[in-house]
Amino acid sequence: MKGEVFNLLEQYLVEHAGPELCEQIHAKAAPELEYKGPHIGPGTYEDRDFFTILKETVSALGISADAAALAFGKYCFPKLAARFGDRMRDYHNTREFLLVIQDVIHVEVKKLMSGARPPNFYYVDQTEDSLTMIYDSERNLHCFAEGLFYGCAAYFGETIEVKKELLAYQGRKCCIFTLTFGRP
Amino acid sequence: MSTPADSIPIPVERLSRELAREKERVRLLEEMVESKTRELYEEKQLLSSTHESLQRVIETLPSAVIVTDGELIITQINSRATQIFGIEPSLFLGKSILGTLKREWFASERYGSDSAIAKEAEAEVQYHHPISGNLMPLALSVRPLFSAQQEFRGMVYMFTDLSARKGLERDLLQAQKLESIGRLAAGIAHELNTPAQYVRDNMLFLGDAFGGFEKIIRALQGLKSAVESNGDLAAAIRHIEEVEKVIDFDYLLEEVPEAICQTIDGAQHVARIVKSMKVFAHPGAPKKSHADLNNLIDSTVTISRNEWKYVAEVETKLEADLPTIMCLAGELSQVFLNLIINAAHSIEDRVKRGEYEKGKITISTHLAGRDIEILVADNGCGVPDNIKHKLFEPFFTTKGVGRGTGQGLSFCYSCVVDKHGGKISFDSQTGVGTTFKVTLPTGH
Repeated sequence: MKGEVFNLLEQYLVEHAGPELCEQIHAKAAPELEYKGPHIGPGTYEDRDFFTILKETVSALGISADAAALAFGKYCFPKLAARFGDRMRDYHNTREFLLVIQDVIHVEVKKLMSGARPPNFYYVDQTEDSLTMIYDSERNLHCFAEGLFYGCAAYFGETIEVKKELLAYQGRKCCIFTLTFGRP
Repeated sequence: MSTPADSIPIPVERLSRELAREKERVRLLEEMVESKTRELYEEKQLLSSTHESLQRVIETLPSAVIVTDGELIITQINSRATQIFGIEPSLFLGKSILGTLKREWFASERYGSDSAIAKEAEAEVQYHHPISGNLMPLALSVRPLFSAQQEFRGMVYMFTDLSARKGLERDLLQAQKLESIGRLAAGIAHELNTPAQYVRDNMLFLGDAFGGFEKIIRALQGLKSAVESNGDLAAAIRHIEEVEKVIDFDYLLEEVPEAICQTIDGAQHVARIVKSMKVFAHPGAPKKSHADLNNLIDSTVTISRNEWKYVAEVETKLEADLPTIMCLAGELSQVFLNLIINAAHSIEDRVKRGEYEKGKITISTHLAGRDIEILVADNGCGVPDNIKHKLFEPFFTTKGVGRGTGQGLSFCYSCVVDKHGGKISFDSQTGVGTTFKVTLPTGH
C-alpha cells in the first residue's frame, strides 16, 4: 500500500483522536510492523502494516473495523481530490466522477505512483441517478471504498444512498455497490 | 485567538519523537529523490540509446523513410531519402509533408482528397530525380502512427525504389514470352514445314517443267534454222509435235502457273509466320506505345495455330479500322495467347471425351464507346461455379501437371487491369463454353 494512505491514516488519527492516542496506537502497532520507520507518501509498504495499525485504531477507539474504514474513507476523499488538483473541475457530480474512476483516475494514480495497486471497478448498470458497480480488490477494503463514496458525494454537495452486497467472484471476495444519487 | 487546548504545553519528549520522525521522513524523501533522479537518468540514457538504435535501423532500410508528427510536419528522415529525392534532409525537416511531397501522387482515384494523405495507403508513383533527370518508379507505403493509448501521433511514409524490380519484371516477362515461344516451337516448326514442303515440291516440278520447256525451245530453234536455211520444215514441225507429246506440254502450260502461285503463297505463309513470331517475341518497349490490337491478335492466332488446329477452328471477327491504343504490345500478345491456349485446352477435354470432333474459338474485337472490347469465346468445358472466384488467383490451375502453372490468367488480370487500366471478366457455363471479355481504354 502506498505511504500516502499510511500518512492519511496518521493525519486522521491526529485530527480525530489526538496526537497522544495516535502515538499510543503506533507504539502498540510497532512491534508487529514490517517497516519500523516513518512512512513517506511515494513509498510502498506492506498491506499488513496498514491492517495492523487499523486493528490497533479499532481497539483504541472502541469501534468496529468496518466503521473505522468507512469513516477513514469519508475523511480521505477531499484530501485525495485536492491531490488531483484542477483536473477535478472536469467532473460536476458524483456519478460523473465515479464513472471515470477505473479508466481515468486509477490510470493516473498508476502513472504518478510507482507500485500503486488501486482496486478494480466494473460498471454493471447505470441510470441518470444511480450506478451499480463491482468493487474488486485483494485488500477487500469495501468499507473504505464506501466511505470514499460518501466523501465524494459530500465533495460535490450531493447525497448518496449506498447499498452493498458481498459476493465471491473468481475465488475473491467482491462487493456490488448500488449507489443512488440525490441532488439538493 | 488561542484556545485552552493550544495553551496545553506539548511534552518535550513527544516533540523530540515527532522531530526525529520528520527528520527521518526528510532523509527518506531525499534518498528517494536521489534514487528517482538516478532512475530518470538511466531511463533517459536507455531512451536515447533506443532512439539511436531505432535511427540506425531506419538508416539501414533500403527504402526512403519520412516520419511526421500529428500535424504532418516532418520530424525524421533517413539518408536513403536523401539519395532517392536528391535533397538534403535539412530541407525536409520541420516542413509539412503536404508541401513537400507531390500532391498529385495522392490524386489518383484511390487517394482522391487532400485529407487522404493522412490515411493508410499503398501506391505506385513516379518521381523525376532532380539530378539524374530519370523517371524513377517508387512504391509508396503510408502508415499512421499511434501511441500505446491509440492516440494519433503522426505518419510514416516509406518510398521504395522499384527501378530494379521493374527491370526484373521486364526480364521475367521476356522469359515468359520466350518460354511460350519454346513451348510453341514444335508447332511453329510444323507450320513452317508445310508451306516449305510444297514450295520445295513445286520448285522440283518447275525444275522438271523447265527441262521440258528447254526441249520445246530447242525444237523451236530447229524450226527457226530450217526456215532460215530452207531445210525440212515438215520434219522440224514433226519434231516439235513429238517433243510436245513427250513433255506433255498442255499439262505443263496448265500446271506451271498454278505451281508458281502456290510457291508464292507458301513463301508468303512462311513470311507471315516469321513476322508473327517477330511481333510476339519482340522484347517490347518498357513504355507504352501505339499498337494495332487486330494485328496483335492475328499474329498470336498464327503462331499458336498448332496449339488449336487439331481440336478447334478459330474464327476471327475483327472490326476494321479500330483505333490504335497506347499499350504494352508484347504483354497484350501474351494475354491473347494465354486466352487462346486456355480455350484450346478447354475444347480439347471435350474432344477427348468424344463430344465432338472439333470445337470453335471465336475471337472478336469491336469499339464500345471509348473502349475496345476483345472477346475470346470457346465452346469448351466451361468453368464450374465453385472455382469461378479463384480463376484470376496466382498459381490456381485445374490443368494437369505440365499443362498449366496457374499464372496465365493471373498475368492477364495484372496486365489488363493494373497496367492498362482495363477490365477482364468472363462468362461461363459448364458444358456450354466460356467467353472472356477484355476491355481496354482507347484513351481517345
